[in-house]
Amino acid sequence: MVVKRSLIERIAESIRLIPKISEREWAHGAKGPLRAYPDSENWHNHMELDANAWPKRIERTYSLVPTTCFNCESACGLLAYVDKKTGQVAKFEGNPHHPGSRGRNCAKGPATINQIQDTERILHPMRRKGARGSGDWEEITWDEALDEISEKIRNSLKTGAKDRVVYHVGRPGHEGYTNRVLKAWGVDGHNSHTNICSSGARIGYALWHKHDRPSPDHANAKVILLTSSHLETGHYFNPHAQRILEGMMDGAKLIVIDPRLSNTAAMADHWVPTWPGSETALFLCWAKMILDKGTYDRDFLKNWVNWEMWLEAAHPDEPKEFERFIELLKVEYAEYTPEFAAEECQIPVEQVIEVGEIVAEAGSALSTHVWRAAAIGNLGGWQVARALHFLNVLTGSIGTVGGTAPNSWAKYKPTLFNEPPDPDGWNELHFPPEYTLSHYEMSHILPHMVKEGRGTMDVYFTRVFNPVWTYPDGFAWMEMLQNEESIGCHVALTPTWNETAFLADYVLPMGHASERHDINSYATQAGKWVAFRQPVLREYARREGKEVEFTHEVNPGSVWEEDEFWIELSWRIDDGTMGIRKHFLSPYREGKKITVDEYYQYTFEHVPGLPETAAKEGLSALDYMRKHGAYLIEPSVYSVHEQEGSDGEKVGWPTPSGKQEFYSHTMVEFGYPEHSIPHYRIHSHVHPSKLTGEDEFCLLPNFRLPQHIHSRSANSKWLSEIGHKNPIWIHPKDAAKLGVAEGELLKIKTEIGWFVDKVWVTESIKPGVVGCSHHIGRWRRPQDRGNRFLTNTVEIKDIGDGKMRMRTLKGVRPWKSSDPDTNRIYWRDGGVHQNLTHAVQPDPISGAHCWLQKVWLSRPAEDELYGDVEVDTTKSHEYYQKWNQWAKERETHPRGERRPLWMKRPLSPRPEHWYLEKEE
Amino acid sequence: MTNYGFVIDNRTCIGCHACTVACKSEHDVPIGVNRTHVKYIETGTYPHSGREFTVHRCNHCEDAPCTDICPTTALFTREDGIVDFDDDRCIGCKSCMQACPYDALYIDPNKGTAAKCNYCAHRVENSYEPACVIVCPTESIISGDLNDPSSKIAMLVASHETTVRKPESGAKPNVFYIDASEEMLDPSATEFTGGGMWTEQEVGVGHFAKYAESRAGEADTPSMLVQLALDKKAKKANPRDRAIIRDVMAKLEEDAGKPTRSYDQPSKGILWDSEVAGYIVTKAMASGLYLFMLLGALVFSDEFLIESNFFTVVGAIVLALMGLTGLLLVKDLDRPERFLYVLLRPNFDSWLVKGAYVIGGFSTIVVLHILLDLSGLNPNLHYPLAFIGAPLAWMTGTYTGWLLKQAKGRTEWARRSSARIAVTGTIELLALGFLIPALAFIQSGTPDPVLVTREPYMIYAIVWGLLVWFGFKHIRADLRKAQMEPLL
Repeated sequence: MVVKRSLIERIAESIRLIPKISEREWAHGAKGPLRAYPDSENWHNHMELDANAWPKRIERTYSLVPTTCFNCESACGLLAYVDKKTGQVAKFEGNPHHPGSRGRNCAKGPATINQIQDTERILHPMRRKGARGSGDWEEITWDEALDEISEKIRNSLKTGAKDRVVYHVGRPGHEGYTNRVLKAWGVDGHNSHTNICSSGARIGYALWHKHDRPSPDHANAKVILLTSSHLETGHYFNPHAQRILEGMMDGAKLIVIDPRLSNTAAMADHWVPTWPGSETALFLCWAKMILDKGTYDRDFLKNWVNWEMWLEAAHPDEPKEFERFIELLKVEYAEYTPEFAAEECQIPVEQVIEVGEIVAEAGSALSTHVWRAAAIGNLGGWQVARALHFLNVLTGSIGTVGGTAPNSWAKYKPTLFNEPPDPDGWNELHFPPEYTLSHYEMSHILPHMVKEGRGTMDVYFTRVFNPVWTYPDGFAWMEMLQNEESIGCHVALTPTWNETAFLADYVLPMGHASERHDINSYATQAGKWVAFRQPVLREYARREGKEVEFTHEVNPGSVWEEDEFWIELSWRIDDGTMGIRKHFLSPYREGKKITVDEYYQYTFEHVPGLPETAAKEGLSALDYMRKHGAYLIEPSVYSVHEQEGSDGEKVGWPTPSGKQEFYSHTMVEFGYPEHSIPHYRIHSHVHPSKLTGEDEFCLLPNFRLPQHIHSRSANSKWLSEIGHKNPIWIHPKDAAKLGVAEGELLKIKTEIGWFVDKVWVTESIKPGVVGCSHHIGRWRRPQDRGNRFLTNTVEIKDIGDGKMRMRTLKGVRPWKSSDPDTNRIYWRDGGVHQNLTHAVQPDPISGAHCWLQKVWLSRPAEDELYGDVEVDTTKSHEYYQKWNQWAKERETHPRGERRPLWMKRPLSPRPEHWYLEKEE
Repeated sequence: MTNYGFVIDNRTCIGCHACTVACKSEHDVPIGVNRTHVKYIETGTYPHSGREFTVHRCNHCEDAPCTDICPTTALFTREDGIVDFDDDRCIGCKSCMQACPYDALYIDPNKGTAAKCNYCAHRVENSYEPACVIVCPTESIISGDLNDPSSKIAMLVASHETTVRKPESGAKPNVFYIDASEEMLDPSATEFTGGGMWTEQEVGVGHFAKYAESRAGEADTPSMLVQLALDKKAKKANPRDRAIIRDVMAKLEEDAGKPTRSYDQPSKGILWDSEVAGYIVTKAMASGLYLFMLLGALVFSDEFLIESNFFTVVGAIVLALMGLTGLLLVKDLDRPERFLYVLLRPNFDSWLVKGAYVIGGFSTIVVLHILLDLSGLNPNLHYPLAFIGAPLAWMTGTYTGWLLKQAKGRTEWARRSSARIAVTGTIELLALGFLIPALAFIQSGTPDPVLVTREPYMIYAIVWGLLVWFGFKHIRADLRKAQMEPLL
């Protein structure tokens, strides 16, 4: 393909008047149909032409190393292109061998390269020099960090305390590995972010069948019902979005419940903009419609639901007959008429009926999901998940093709090389006695419990966890973290600076997606897979025949990874008398410390079918995973409950009754008899009846954007470029009522403070509700570093009377660095940090934080500026106590049980600790 | 023969921006500019409100206006339908950006040369699909050979109703949309107030990135339009500029109630501004003055012409103006050191090249007039020179109108008739270069071309100066107005 050059040009070039460029080799074009990926046999030697030099033909040779994305939890496959000339990763594409993501990614996958190349990333271990939070740091070696931290842990463990060394995780992973470490140390020290995330829904699901998350088979569904926004966020965004669209292109109807027109709602056949918290009423109405229309799955209900228990308890005089059960069920749910649902949801009754009829006709191909959203938003939000699952139970669409399965069916749990004993203690800072049904640790009220004197910590690890910014009531976290009496030593394990790391004693840089080990398995589909997150430069070195002992040798700077860090740290904690080292011995070399390669060798050797598949390629299980990055264990997983167990009985459900628990005896025993069956007995704290004033609104603060991931994407220039401000979404009618126009300022007052934000006037939100995205409004103080693509420079002041004030000194600004792009930032608006002003609102039953906030809206005063935040910390503690009291009032411990023994608990302590200690 | 194109399937596009980022990664596309992006619009009123997403990029047009206007064939259409570019040839004149109906090109701030989606030609070379295609979670971007009936893309086009953006452009685009609304494809169908849902778009980017960089840390103006209309000249905003912005704002007001655009790529701002307005004026002055010189040759006595070195004096002024024209032309390039490429790597379809040769020819003739004058040879030889010089002078003064007409991305320019261009150009060159010296001559009867040296010619000089100044302002305003089009 040669472009004709003029005679003039040829002459001018030949007499060197202009450079000779027209004689270069020209493009030939493709040699056949275009394909997506090179064959994996050529992955170590893949030639590609340099895109930037094109049309000059500069050949680049890459080694393609699979790993998994570390941005959201989905762990989609990535293929790192390691440039053989530079030895560095040049870009990331998708891994076609990954069964969940199938070679495709969302924006956050390819943006990983920004995070790797971020000119402001933390490259070496840092120790604080001045006071906590002073911003004064010094670089130290890993040896120093390991020695100093291990000594502190040793000292704590030697006191016999089981709850003073804590690992608090934001982005989880490692499938049991970290819990194993904590067990080896003998501490009940696992804390998570789950109670501000998914746990609202989890208890709703767990009450039915112990499994606490759904795994919808969207690809084969007839009706897809989402109380979530899985076409833009959530677990598992990209894999689920692929399958939702597949289902839709096959004719499935998409129903999306959301007070805000999310991108997902915009794709829906039916957007149902319910009033927040009313979803339960809607689902129960649809349940009634299914019962009335008779489209329920008779066999499933009869065989797999504990209807007899309900009849026994609620209608002891009635015959224990299934037909009678259905009749009584209809009577029980008669109150949930379409008119009632329409009024609660504030939507037209016609829509309730129209969409309800679609759901009622879905049969066994009804895939449903509630992720965060209403379940984590509202007081009683757990009812939403319980009522949603009820629809699956009624239609018999559980574990069916196109239905909704428990996520555990599709999730592989690795076999660990050595299982230390369960912790010999119960950490009441994590599971305080009054939250008997809390599905996860009460992490969002941790600072308030510490303030109440319920406990302190000697060593507190935050791992990819930024509660100061991400959690409600960040000032409470700042107070706790700054108090050395409360937290003896705070170690932040993080790939990037964040608001919480600013308040650490040690900041230990841990690698991004391609710089660490991990094992992933997630319920992205009705199948089971396992994937390998591996440090790609380490694998590249291995392919090139180089020995690497520790991953930090190949990572940028001395960035490390947790897997190796925990082994080394554990080894050093044990002075030889503590019995910790024996849990870190190689399963292959007698008496030697385990290496990370051995750990994964052991893990993958125990994945069913993997060694055999690997052998066919002449590889070990570990080498197969190094090469392909993922393995499909079971292509399809359906109706596991119908399968025969080892005892010859059907597997059924892991509940006390062995069935789906429509009737929960557990709820009755734990003091909530009114919740024995799914009902709409709790009105949300933002129910319309509680917002009576003209200026009172419901703030929807917890929705996410497709291009960001919590507080971890501010180090990506490309992601920041497409999202850098978080205005308040407000309906035009509400804006008119308040007298604010597009771009103008609004003061949003919460129970404990206020903030000032700009408004985005839009038809995409329900009137009476205002919205503000969860991601943006990142900040740093003048003395802090990092994330300048997306951080405002702020000043934080104690203005007396327990009041804290934050003011934006400067928005986002360009700066000069080795990357010319940092100087091209054209946005100045870094948004507003709203979460600081959110009061903690622990649901008394689920324990989950109720994200939605009752707010009072007004135009700000003259001296209240864009980005201003004020919080009354005294009020915030009082407000916590008010909500905490609701749990205490109903606290019930049958047989002295702290919580239902049959329910899950991460890092479960020994059985005796599941009971309250008897008072002397 | 192969003909690559894209199908964008709006039934499945979820607006995730993965294509945008994968493209940035593949091509190292700088902050502020995009080879592909996902436009968001919002439609309807609650509860019937909607949001639509669609992917915009180079359309790899069959009759690509960018390749026609590109003066150096840096942009070219390959046999397989890909419109590719060679940045070694690009001089950064930005005419392609004016010509593209789809706003698909930008100036790469790293290189100072034009860039756009090139279908990942470097990947196609090894038979791999473009980076955006393989990343797309929902397989909403389909690449392939439109001429191969067995290809997925050809089958999609055959079995579905598809639309293209701006079919009226005549460019015959090769990006086909399934299920895209009219509001989505037509930029004027949506209101754009300057901010997005999650973004702000303050400063012109790409070509303007260098100004943005030099201003690092400054400027908090929230209005994109103000920034764009004035950019670095913003600090000196005068009433006239403000009036333009006011007009644009008023237009936006009128559009209220239309669907809104909640995300689009950052605007590239005004690409041709003072430099271009400036050289339009200087060459109009030069060509008008040359015509005055010919008039003088006809009416002045031979003695006077010889004694006063009339041709040398006027010719020198004309040459000086042409020199200034050349300087401004070069200054407007983002790769000014490559200015000779216009002449030496010419694409004769481009009006920039035609113009450059006209300017070159005209300047040569003027030089010959001067040489002839200084040589003392027979003054009658000026007549054959004038025979060539007069049409070249006229072309010099008017050709930019056809260059603008070739910029098909600006409908206001593109729809101007040749007659109108000829008349306007003629009026401009007469008003700016011919009128005042001619009037001065008629009034005084003195054949002295150097009007500014003596009373009462000062008045003429002042009037001439004002005429030029207002001419410049008018021309610049006209340029800016048409370039506001993609901002709306």
